[in-house]
Amino acid sequence: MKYLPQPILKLRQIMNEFEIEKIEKRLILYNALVQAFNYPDSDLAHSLSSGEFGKILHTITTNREIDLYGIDYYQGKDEKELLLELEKDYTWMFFASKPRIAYLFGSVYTEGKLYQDSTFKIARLYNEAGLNVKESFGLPPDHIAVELEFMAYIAFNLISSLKNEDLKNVAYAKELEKHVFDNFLSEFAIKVGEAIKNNAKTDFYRSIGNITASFFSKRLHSSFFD
Amino acid sequence: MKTYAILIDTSYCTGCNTCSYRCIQEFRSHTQATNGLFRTFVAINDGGLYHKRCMHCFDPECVKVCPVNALSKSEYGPVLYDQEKCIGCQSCVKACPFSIPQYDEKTQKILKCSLCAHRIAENKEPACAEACPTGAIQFGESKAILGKAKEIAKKRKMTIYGLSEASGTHTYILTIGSPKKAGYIDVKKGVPKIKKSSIESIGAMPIVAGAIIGGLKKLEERKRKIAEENKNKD
Amino acid sequence: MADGISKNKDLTRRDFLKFVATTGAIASLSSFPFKNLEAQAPFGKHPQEKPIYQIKKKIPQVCARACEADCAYYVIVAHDPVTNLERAITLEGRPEDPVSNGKFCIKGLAFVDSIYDPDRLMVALKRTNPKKGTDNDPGWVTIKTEDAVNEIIQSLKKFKPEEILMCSPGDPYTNKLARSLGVTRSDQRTECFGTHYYINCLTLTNPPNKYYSSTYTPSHHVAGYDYDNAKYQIWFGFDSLSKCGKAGMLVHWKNAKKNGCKVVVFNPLRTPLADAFATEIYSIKPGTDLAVALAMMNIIIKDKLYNVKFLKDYTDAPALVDMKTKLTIKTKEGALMAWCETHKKAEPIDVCHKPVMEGGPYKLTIDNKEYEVKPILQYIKDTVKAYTPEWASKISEVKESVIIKVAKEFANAKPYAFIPTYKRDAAGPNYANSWRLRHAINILNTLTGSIDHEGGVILLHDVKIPWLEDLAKPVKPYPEQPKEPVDFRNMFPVTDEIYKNKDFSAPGHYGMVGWGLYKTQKTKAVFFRNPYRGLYAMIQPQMVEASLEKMDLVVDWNLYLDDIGYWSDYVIPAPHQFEEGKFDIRLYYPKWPCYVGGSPVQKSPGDQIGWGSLAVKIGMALAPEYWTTDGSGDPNKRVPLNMSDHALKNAGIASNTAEFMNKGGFWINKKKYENYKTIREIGYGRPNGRVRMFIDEFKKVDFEPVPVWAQRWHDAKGEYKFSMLITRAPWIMHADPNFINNPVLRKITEKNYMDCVWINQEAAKEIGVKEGDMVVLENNPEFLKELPRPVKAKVHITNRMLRKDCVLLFHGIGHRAKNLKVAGNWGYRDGDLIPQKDPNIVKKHDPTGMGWVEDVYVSIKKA
Repeated sequence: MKYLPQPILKLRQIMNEFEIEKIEKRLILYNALVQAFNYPDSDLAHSLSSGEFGKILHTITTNREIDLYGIDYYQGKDEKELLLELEKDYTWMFFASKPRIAYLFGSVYTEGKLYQDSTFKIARLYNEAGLNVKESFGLPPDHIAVELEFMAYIAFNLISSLKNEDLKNVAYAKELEKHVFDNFLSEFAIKVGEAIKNNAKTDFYRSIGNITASFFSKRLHSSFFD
Repeated sequence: MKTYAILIDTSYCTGCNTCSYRCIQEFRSHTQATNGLFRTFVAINDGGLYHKRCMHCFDPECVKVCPVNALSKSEYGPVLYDQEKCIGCQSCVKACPFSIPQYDEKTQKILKCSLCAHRIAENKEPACAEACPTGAIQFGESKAILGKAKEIAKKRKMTIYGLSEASGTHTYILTIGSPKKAGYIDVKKGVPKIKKSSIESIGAMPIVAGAIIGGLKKLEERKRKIAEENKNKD
Repeated sequence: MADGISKNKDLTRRDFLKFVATTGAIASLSSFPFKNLEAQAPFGKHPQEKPIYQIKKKIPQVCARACEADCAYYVIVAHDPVTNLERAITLEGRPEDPVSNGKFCIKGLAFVDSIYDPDRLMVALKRTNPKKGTDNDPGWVTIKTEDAVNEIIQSLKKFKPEEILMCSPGDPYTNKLARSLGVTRSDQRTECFGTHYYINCLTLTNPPNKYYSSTYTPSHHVAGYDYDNAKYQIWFGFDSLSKCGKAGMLVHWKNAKKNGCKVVVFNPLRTPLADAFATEIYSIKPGTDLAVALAMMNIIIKDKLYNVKFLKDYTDAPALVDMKTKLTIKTKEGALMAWCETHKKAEPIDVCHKPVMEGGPYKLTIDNKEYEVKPILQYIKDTVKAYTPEWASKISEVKESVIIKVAKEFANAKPYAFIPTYKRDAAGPNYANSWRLRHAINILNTLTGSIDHEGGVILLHDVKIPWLEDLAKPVKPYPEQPKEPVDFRNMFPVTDEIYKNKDFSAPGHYGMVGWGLYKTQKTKAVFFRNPYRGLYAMIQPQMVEASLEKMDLVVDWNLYLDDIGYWSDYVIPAPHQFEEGKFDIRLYYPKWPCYVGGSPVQKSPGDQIGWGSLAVKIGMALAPEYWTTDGSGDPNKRVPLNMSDHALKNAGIASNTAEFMNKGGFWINKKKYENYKTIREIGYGRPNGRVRMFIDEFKKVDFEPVPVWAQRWHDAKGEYKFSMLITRAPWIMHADPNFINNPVLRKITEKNYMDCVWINQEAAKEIGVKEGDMVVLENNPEFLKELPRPVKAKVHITNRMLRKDCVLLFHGIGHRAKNLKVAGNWGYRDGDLIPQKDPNIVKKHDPTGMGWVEDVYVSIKKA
C-alpha cells in the first residue's frame, strides 16, 4: 500500500468513503429495522415521539423511493399511548391476528414450520462469523430481528475491515452479507414486509413494512449498494 | 444374491397411517404430503384398506421408459429412484400399471418409495415396517416373505395381490376377498419372472449396493437372533 | 412530510455524518449495539465441523394427551454440535414398555412436528379491549409471563372462591390449587371418562386406596385389560375409529388375534378396527346395547353359567338385600351379611363358610327388627328375569339367536372373557342410559370372574406415585368447597360424595357446566387450564361462548392462542408436552408393576411456564398457608413437589428421578400376575375387598341399585330421525391444534373423507343427496331449546354405516380460531349439535350426571 502514489491513495480513500457511506446507510437501516422488529419498547416510542426515528429513515432514503406514510406524525405524541398502540399492533400482527398476518421466523416461510434446516443454517452462519444468540433471547434464532441484527453486524464489520484494510474480512463480510441477503432474508423479509405494509394498523409498521419489502426486493438498491 | 420383499397383511391393518407419517418424517417430505403426495398412503375404503405404494415389480415398466435412468431395478428387490437424475418427464407416471409414481409440480420430480434402501444399508427395516403398530407390514427376504404370504393366504383364505400382477412384484398385499374391492388396481397378471442372480455378483456392484448388502446381512442376522431368543423364551 | 428529505439527495458525507450523529444513529457506528446476539470471537470466518447436524441423541419420553394409553418411546433428536441447536426428528419404539411393546402411533409422530408448529404461542398475551367475543378485537399486547401471572393473582383476589371456576383435569397441582383456594374444579375433558370412572369407583376401586396415585386419575382408570391372554371379548361400540390409531391398544389387540381370541362387535358402524380384529360384527340400534347386556345377564344367571367361586369369594353376590328398603344389610361394623346354608342364619360375609347366592326371601331379625332378605345374585336374577333375548332383540334389532349364542360363549370362556370399555364407546357418556350399560358390563365381567384375573380385567398394583398432600399434609383442613357449584354436582350426591370425600380429581360435569355458566350468575372468573382443546371440544360451545362474554376475568393457559382467546383476558403460554419431564405408571396394561420416565426434549422456545410452576405461584400468593410446610407462608418453606422422587425412593428403585433417568428411566417387575389379589386390597370391604354389583348409593337417590332397562333421553321424531354417532379420525385428538393444525394430518383426514359426515346409501337416497353434497344438520328445537347452531358439512356415502337411521360425525375438527393456519375454520363442529343439559332433566335419568353426548337426533337436509 505504501508504494502507491499519494493521489491514488487519496482516490482510494474517496472511493472507500463513498462505499462506506452506502454501507453506513445499510447499517443504519438494519439497526432501525432491528428496533422495529423486536417487540416495541420505550426506546422505540421515545425515538418516534422525538422524531429521531423518522429522521433517520428519511436521511437514508429519498421521497421518491419510498412512502414512509405518517411516520412523522408520531412526533410529540404521548410516549406511553404510542407504545401501547405499537404493542397492540405488533402483538396482533405476529401473535394473534386471524388469520396470521406474518410470522417472525424465516423457516416458517421456507419449510412451513419452526426450527427447520434453514434455522440450523443461519445459526451456523452466526457462529461462523463469531457470534452467539444470547441465551436470554429464548426464541428461534431465525427471528427476523436477529437476522437483521446479524446483517447490521456484518455491515459494521465491513466498514471496520475497509477502514483497517483487512482485505480478507472485507471479502468475507461482503460475501456473507450477500449470502444472507439472497438466501435467508430476501424472500422472507419481502413477504413479512409486504404483509405488514398492507395489514398493519399503525403507520409505523406500515412504513417499516414498506421499507423492508422495498429494500429486500432491491427497489432501493442504488441508494444502498454500489 | 438374496432379494427382499414387503408383506402387508391388511387383516391386521386399521388404516391408522402411522406408516405414512413415519415415511414422511424419514424423508422430511412434509410439504409434499401437504400437497397430497405420499410415498405410501392407506385409504380406508368401504371394501377394505388400500395401501397405495410402489409394488417394486420384478420387471418394472417405469425403469424401461425412464429416459435418464433415474429409475433402476436393484439386484436385491426395490425399484430405486434417483431424484438427481429425474427430469420430470412423467414417462413413469404414465407407464406404471399400478399408478404409483406421483409428479410433484413444485419440484418437477416424481415421488416414489425406494423401500428405504438407505435404512436397509444401516441394518434397519424400512421405516413403515418398523413403525406399523400391529405388524401388518413386514419386511424380509423375498423367499421367506412369500412363503409367509402363501401360508397366511391359505390358512385365512386371503388373496395375495402383487404375486402375479405385472408378472410379479416384491410387494405382497394380503386382502380378504377381491383386492379390487379395497381399491387395488386390476393389473394384468403374468407368470412371475424372477431374475437369476447370485451372491457372487456383489463384486460387480457399486459401493452403495455393497453397503446395502452388508446391512441386509446384519439385519438377517439380527432377525435370526431375535427369533432364536424368542424360541428359547417359549 | 418532514423537511430535509428533498435535501438529503444532495447530502454530502460530512452532512450525512453530522446528521446521523445528532440523531443518535451514529452510536452504532462506533461500537456495535448488540441486542439479541453476542460476540464469542472476533469477526471473521471461523472454521466449523461439516455436517449440519448429527443424530446421536434419543430422549425417553412418554406420550400424553394424544390418547389414554400413554406409550413410552424415544424422541430422536438431531443436534448441531457447533451451535448446540437441536431438533426432534421422529420417534423410536421402546420394546420393554408393557403398554406400547415398542410401538407408537401417528399422533405420537405428529407431536414431534407440533413442537415446531409456527402457530405455537411463545409469549403471554394481555387483552386491552375489555369487550369480549368473536367480533371484537381483543387489542392483545405482549406481556412478560411473570408480569401476567402477577396481574392474574391480583385480579383473582377480587373474587370470592365460589365465583371462580377452574376448568382443568384433576392433576396434583390443580387439585391442590383448587382445594387450597376453595374453588370448584370442573373440566371440559375428563367427562369423556366420567361414566367409566364413577362406575368403576362404585364397583371396583373404592378410592382412595393403596395404589391411588397422582397419575391415575387424569385418565380415570385403574383397570386395564389383558387382551393378550383373553379368549373372548365383546365390544359394545368399543371399536371407534379413534381407536384405530392407538398403538398402546393395537399391539394388544394384535396379540389377542394371534392367540385366537374371539371378538364380537355390536356397532351400527363397521370400522376398520372391527374389520381387523372382530370375529363377528352385528349391527345394533344406537343406544340399545343395554338391552343386549341385560339379556346376557339373564341368560348367564338363569343357566348358572357364572363363576361360582369368584362370586362367592370376591364379590357381593351372596350379600343380603333388605327387600323393603332395597339396601344391603350390614353389621354394626359395616360389613355385608350373607345367609349361611349350614347355619341357616345371616353371618358377616367374610365369616360365613357356606353363603347362598340364590333363593330367599330369608327372614332375619336384627335388634328386634325383622327383615325379609335376598342374596344379591338372586336380586339381580329377579330384576333381569323380564329381559329375555326375545325382548332385547325387539329393542336392539340384534337377532335373539345371536344374543343367546354370544351370552353362552362369553360365559363358557370364563374367566378369560370380558367386555372392555374406555370412553367414547356405547358405555361411555353417550346416552342417558349409558351409566346403566357401564354398570351391566361390570356385572357381566364379574359373572365370568374376569376381574383381577389374567386374561381379564387386570388391576393396577404394587406401584404408587404420591399426591402433593402425601408429601406434606396440609397444616389445617382445606376450606369448604362452594355449596352450589356452577356444574351442579351438588345435585348428584353419588358422584359428589366421591369428588368431595374420596378423590378430588374425579371428573367434572361439563355436560352441565356450560348450562351453569350461562343460566346462573354464580361464576365471575374462569381459569382454563386448557389441555389444548379449546372450547370446541365442548358440547354446545355456543352456550359457553355466550357466558364467557359476561365474565369479569378469563384466563387461559395454552400451547396456542385458540378460540378461547376470543374471550380471554390473559393467555399464558404453555410448554409443549415434549418440553416437560414425565413420570408415569402403566395404567393401560397394568399387568406388571412398572414406572417409566421422560426427559424434556428441549427448552421451550419462548416465555412459557409449566403448569406446576404456575399453580405454585398462584397458590403461594393466594393461599400460602396451604402451600408451606408449616403454614407460615414463608417462601423458604414451600411444600415439596418432588412426587416422583418419593415414589422411586419408596420403591427402592432410585434415590431420585435424576438417577432414575440416568439409568434409562424405566423399571419393571415382571412377576406373575397374582389373580384376585388386588381386589382384596382396593375393593369394597377391604382388607377383604370385594367387587360390588349392588350399589346402595343409587337406591339412596331413588334409582335401582342394579341395572334396569331405560330408554334414551328422547326418541326420534319426524324429520329428526338420524341418531348422531360421534367418532374421531385416528390421527386427531379432540380439537387439539397439535393435530388439526398439522397440514399433513389435514390432508390424510380429507383423503379419508373424515372431514365429512357419513351416511349410508339408503339414507342418502331418502334425503336425496349425492357423494360430496353439502348438507345441513339440525337439532329438534324441542330438545335444544336455546342457542341452536346448525352444522353444515360435506356428505360421504359409505356402506360402513350399517343403518340408515344414523349419521356419523367426526369430532375435533371445525376449530374456530382463525389465527391457526391450518385448523382455523376447517370442517364442522359436532359439539354445536349436542345440547348442554338442564340438571333437573339429567337428575331424572342419570345419578352420575354425565354428558350424554350422543343422545341426539338430527335432521339432514341438502344445503
